[in-house]
Amino acid sequence: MGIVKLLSAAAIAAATMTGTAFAEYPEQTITIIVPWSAGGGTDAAARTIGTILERDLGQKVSVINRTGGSGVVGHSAIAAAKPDGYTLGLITSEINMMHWMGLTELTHEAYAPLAMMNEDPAGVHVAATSPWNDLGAMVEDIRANPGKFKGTGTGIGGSWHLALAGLLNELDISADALPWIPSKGAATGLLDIVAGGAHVAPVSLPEAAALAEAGKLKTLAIMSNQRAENFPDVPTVEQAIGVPWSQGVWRGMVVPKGVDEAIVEKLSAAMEKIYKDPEYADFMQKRGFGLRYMGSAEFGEFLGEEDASMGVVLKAIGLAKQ
Amino acid sequence: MSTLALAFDLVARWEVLLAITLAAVFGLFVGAIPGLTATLAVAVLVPITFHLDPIAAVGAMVSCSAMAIFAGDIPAFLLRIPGTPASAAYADEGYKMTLRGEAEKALGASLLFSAVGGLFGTAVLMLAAPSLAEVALKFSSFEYFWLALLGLTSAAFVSAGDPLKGLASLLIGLSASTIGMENPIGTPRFNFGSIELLGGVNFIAALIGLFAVAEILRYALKPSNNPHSVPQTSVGNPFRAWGKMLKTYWRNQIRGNILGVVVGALPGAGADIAAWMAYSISRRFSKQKEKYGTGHVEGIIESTSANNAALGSAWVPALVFGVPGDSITAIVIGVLFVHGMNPGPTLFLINPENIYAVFLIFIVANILLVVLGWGAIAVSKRILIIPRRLLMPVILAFCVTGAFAGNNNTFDIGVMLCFGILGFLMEENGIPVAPCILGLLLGEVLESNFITSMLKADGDLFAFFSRPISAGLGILTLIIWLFPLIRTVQALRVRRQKTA
Amino acid sequence: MRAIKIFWEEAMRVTDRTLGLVFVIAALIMGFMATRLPGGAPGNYGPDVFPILLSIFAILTGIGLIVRNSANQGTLKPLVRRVRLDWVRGAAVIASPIYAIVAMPTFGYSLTIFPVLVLLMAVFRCRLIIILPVAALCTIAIKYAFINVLSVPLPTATFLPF
Repeated sequence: MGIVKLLSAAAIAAATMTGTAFAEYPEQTITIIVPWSAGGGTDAAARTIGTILERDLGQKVSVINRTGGSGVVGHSAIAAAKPDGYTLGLITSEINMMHWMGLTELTHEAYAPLAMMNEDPAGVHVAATSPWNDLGAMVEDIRANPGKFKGTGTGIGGSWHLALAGLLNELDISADALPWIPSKGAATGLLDIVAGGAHVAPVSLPEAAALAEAGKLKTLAIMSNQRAENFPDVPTVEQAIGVPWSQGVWRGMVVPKGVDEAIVEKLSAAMEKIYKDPEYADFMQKRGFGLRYMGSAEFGEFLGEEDASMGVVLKAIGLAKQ
Repeated sequence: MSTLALAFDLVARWEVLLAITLAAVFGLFVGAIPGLTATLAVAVLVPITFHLDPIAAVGAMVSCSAMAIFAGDIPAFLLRIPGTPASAAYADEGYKMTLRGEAEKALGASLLFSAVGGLFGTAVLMLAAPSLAEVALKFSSFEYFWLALLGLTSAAFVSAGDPLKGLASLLIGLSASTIGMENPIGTPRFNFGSIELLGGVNFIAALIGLFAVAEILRYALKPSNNPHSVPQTSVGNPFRAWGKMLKTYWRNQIRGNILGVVVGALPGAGADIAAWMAYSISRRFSKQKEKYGTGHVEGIIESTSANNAALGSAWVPALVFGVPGDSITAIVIGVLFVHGMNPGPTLFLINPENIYAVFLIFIVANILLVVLGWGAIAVSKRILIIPRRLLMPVILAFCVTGAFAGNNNTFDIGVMLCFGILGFLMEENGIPVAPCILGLLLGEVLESNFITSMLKADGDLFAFFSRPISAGLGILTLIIWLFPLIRTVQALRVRRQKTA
Repeated sequence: MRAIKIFWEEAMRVTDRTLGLVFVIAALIMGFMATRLPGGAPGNYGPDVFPILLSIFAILTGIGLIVRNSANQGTLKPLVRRVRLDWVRGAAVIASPIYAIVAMPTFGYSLTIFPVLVLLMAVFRCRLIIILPVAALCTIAIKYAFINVLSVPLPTATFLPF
């Protein structure tokens, strides 16, 4: 009898203690895992989020880079972290591609989403000397001469590749019509466009801004619902050819699944506050990153929808593993 | 002129100068630790630069990277453990000098010619940035393929003692570079199901393993075979010694500078590759070829001139077109954006005093390099006094920490250990490790440019000769390769005629 | 008549023939594994092309080593003086990183590196009175440098507050 009483008392005590622990969250250092290397765009965004979060929550926030395997290593590390709310992660579009390509079993379902913090729509860039002056001309030329023109700007199956392949797929143009030349990154791909090695690069607008300004590139369209604030002259895909199509790369904050609801809510609210913070907006604006926010629930829905549409595109271009 | 005066005002402020100096000391420290690269040093500075004003921020990164590249030579020469990949080409040469008691001479040469190289790179950046950038834009995968092959050729010169074993080492490095999915098609290869290996062999971990861990293993396994501490001779007045070297080796210096500037300006090649190519060119055209590999300062001078010159010219495509020339400028571009100095041709037109201030900082940083570098040499020389039985364990501790720190991953400690054992076995059998590093460095570049070129040309091999620069580089490569073959055939014919 | 060269070396050296053989076998394995790779999506230039090319070059290099060894028989004979190896010290060096891999995630940084330093210094025959302070000082210094100067978060022990 006595023992049962003691145990239940201990259980109640433990429950109240953990209860107060939640109320006092956060009480130790918070870690943000970034699946990409230090110095890159995702890293810079994570460090800015970390700095503001540290100020808002009054608790030290450290950013860790877990790189390698085209993001697989870092994304897995976020999912495998202890779900105590002290390990956060900044995930990127790749999470919805790598499992289709058979690189990992991991999907977005392993996370509890907090908020989408940014999205950069893809642009359609061609060399300044290119005969194409609008998106319609380019698309019809590709349709008429399958295999003649080549695209570049990222690795095979990278976000930018899928953005353009998805658009062509939407227009019923076969994936083989525009063979893809893999490149190490957007900058390398753009240089190849200028040097005449390939014909179109669907990368983000800020990445191409300097070369466009130098008169080496022209931008035919932006894959978004509305024109970009910094590039008001570039039409959207719908304005150019009448087909609605938006695609880009995004970054969002998550915690591993299993974190206490109250903590998820608290962190989610913290993310919204960061997004509205002028310091964050100022940083993103200067760095040329697109701003887009989605709350926890909306971001969760978005992840599911995007995962499905990525599956369609990857299957269409034959990169999905069966 | 008023622009220059404005720029001068921007730089001559105490917070800018303080930022430059502190960043310089930091760069020296990071560069000198095996396993920590100049890129890492700059990446760590990024969050701090957000709080600085633009000129101080850029200045900090410039001086930090220049110091780190030089500082990589310090452990390379004193302990045969290169601090950064750019020092790997001539680590052996410098170490042999230390064994002869000439550590101060070797490091002094490296310091002086680093600074002069840096100034040369700056001059090119100031005078020829836009036109040099135009040339860099003409390079596509075809040209880079030939450039990578030319780079690999230097392996033959680094291991002239036994070219066959040099080739073997190079092939080991190239094969290791195929591990993972960082290939053009993105297919996982040879990773044996490991997620960590998907990203490929961690280059820094491999570098630490091949040089540092192998060295520690050798020390541990062969106690009877260790160099006893060598009494080091002082060069006395450094300026007098430098004057002499400048007079003797000015040709090497200029050739190294030019090569460094050209290679550095190409996005996709950088200071590391420049150092390798410079070393082999210097050996090929030297009048004292036989002295190379025994601790000869000539090769050191040429490659150190090249790698610091490359550092400056890597900014050319970055500033003009926003295209990074190497991994350091890739980070710098991000910082420039944050501070509203968006790279592009307008950077030179709107508020040109900003860009001139950056140039001035380059000059200040390279002068600072001489002062701080000399201090660093004086301090670090004392490492040689520490008994090896105490020093080696500490170096291993640094190696383990450095390998871990790159990716926050214990897996890379294992990579380091494997390459350490491999490096030890290779050297025991007379296979030099330096070409293996070169193979790891260039394997991905070579493969991706070969495959993408073949994809672009639909398999037509003649495409490699169809563009002017590409054809020129290709013919040059073939001549270099075929030259020894022709010589051998001629020699055989002569011999046959004699016997007949 | 070429003179017979004799030289002494202290090395764990195998003959070029053995070395060449190892090279050829390794290259064959790599080449075989490469042919099993998926053909790659576009065109015929898949992920297998480059490794196969490399393995061909490696086989040629290995054959070159074997041929040279046979050609040099008698003219170039390395008289390798078998050096006495200190296996205990070697094992300590190899064991240290392995211990670090296993221990670092749970024991944290300090409790991993300090024993490594003590062990290595002990097998290298440093005096005990030097070992402990130097090892402790180095552990603290490296930890401080990485965490505070380089802002690299090193792991902490899961069961201890430091």
